[in-house]
Amino acid sequence: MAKDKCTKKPISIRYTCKPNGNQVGLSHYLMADAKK
Amino acid sequence: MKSPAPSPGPSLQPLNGGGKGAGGEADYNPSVNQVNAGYGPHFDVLEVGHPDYVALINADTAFWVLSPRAEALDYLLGGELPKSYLAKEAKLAADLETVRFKLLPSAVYFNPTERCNLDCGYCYLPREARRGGHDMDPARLLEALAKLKDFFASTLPEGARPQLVFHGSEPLLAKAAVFQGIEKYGDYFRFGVQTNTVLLDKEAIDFLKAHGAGIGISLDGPTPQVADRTRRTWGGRGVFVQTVKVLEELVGYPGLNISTTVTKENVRSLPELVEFFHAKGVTNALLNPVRGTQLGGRNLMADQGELAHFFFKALDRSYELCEKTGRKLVIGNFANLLLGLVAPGARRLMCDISPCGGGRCFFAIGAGGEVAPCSEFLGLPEFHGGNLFENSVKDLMGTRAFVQVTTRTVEQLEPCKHCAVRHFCGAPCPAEVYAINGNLNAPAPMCEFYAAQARYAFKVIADGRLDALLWDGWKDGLEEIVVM
Repeated sequence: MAKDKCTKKPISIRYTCKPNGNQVGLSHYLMADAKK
Repeated sequence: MKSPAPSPGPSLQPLNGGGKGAGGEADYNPSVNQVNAGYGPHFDVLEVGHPDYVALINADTAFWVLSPRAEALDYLLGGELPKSYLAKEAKLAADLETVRFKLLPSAVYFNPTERCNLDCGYCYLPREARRGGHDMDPARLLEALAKLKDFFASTLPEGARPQLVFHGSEPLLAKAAVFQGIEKYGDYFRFGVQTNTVLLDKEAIDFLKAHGAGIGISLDGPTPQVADRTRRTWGGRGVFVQTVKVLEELVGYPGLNISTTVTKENVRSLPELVEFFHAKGVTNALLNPVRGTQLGGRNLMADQGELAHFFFKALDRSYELCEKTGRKLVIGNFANLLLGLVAPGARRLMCDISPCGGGRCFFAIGAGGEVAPCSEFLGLPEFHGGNLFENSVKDLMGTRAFVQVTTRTVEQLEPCKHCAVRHFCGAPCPAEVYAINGNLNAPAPMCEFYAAQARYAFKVIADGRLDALLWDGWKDGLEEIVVM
């Protein structure tokens, strides 16, 4: 019996972020961006 | 990504590269033949509850690919995935290494008073202190901010603005000191105030807005019947009505942050709460499962299965509302987990990574100047590194109290060290783990929930819902690593 070919494509997503000293790192409070 | 190469089929080729010579070039390729053995790349297969996809995960680097279910074995044993992965492995590992071990402290949770005008059932601070504790006077608070500024100015790159969140207890019980601090140091720190809203009158709102301060408010339910179960005055009166009044005044302010503490008292109302927030125009909220750091919190922890069920229903509702109205309500703690999958270095919250952010990305200061790795540890004196007014911040960071938190990694823990989603969970929270187990060497008390949350996150990605559940512009400033 022929095997059905899947039409779905694999998914892989990955981005990097350069640490720049402004990187956020908080716990249970999310600092929303209230710019002056 | 191309379809996988045909499976090589059963092979008994030797691992020493034999086969050259008589048969021409060897079929042997270490990147293919050694998957899940020796120095070859390791991939766990994770069921994510999606009809079409399973996840293949290299847990050490937090790399993953969602493979069509029927082709997963072909991807695993075919040549392309291991080869492509190995070509990028060093970059993936370095990316995770940076976010786990190389960030600089850049935020402080600052409790200007021990006192609180509410008696919430789950507070991480001891009840006696909240009822009758002391405040930090304005001069002392300014002295503390000066010390903190000196520390950050000597450690962070020029121009960086560390974050300082006045937290509690209820920081507005020390409003004069807090506002003097914001006025004097508003150009240096990015300030936030987490408040129960009882004292947040129009004058206070105008002041905080004028200084660009973040305003975090706490609301635990869509109705007073639900919200007031956990958030009440010492006399037992709920504050839902007051909180919603303030919420309505603040909607549209970009610095608004809403926090919900999820307990057994409100867990079933999470989908309705999402509808409530969305109807009010809220764009950003946290639905944080309560920590069991103090007995009150432990007694209010929701059943993990029930939490997962209603939390995911709430996220589904948020997605449906976005589809229907075009307006997002981002659930920040889940969005942060999604970032952990697609851009670990861009995380904004550091509870679901190990070591956690406590003592390395941020630290907490109590009203007496005591310093702990995180607010959750302020009620556990054995985790106070010392006192801000007596010790340098640099020295405090090196104390045993801090180091045992900043070196706690999932690689040391059972069952975490074998878990495929260990870097999407982080075995939180060390304070809660310590309070429950008497030591830090245990997995998350909510382990099943966090594993389920990771599977749900993969399912969200497989369904193409990633962008709808993340903040707009989440890719800004990021660089894509194309593996497959």
